[in-house]
Amino acid sequence: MKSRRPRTTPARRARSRECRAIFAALSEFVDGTLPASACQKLREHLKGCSPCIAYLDSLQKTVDLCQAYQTPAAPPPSPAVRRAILRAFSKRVARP
Amino acid sequence: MPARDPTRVEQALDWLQSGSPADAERALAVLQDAVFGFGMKVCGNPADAEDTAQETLLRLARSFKKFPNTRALSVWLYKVARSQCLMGRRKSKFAPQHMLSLDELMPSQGQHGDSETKSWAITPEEAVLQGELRDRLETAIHALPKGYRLVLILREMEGLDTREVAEVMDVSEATVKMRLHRARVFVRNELDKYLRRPRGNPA
Repeated sequence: MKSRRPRTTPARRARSRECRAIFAALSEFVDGTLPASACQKLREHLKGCSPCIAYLDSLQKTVDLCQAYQTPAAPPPSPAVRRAILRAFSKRVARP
Repeated sequence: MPARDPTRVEQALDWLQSGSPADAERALAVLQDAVFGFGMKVCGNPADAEDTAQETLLRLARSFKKFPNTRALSVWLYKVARSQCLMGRRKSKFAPQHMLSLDELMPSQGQHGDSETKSWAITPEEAVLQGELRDRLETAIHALPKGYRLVLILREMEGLDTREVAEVMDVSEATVKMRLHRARVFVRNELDKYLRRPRGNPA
């Protein structure tokens, strides 16, 4: 069966170029560090682009997952290391 | 840009300055946990993470009075932990050393369609409980090239700001921003493969 390629229209090509530009700026948008004018442009684009909205949502969730990521609790330092560290700290603090 | 809250490492370093033995004990517990956790995220194995914590804290004990403020000390601590960790005995079998290209990371047209919204319908609380998703996240982080992985860990998990990450990594802030974005996108794309998999087959 012949595969059907999606027809590319000038509007679709323009959308794709815009999506690429938006894609590069998504992290700064998520972090709230994107300059105001670029931010406004991005918001305008998002109004009409559901794939970009979905991508932004998944990127935000990725950031949330990374921030929620926890490692197992650390084992305590060995008694010798603990003593050495605490001794060194107390000496350093005592020194003027 | 508003000042961020102090990280738990900065808080612990503040306790150390007080000179009280009880505060030093408290600080040691927090720092041990923080540096071990950082080591686990970067190296991925407990033995290297333990070595990292031990060496880093011993060096901290020798040097911590040299620093003008807690922030500078925190940056120094992560620098030491980073280099200790990268000297780890067990080299990651992942972590290829290459650049991530934004063009390659961008999904092609039609690949980031509306079905994503359904795949990604997951709250952070749910995600924390889902061991498999957590494992996928871990695998994706360890598959990142080293320079990108460190930026992601320092920024997202350790709570450092862009300038501090740049100092720890000895790179420009622009490089931190670029790496952070690509690292996030890489991890997002790896998780997407998992979330889009056909479901319903009991293991």
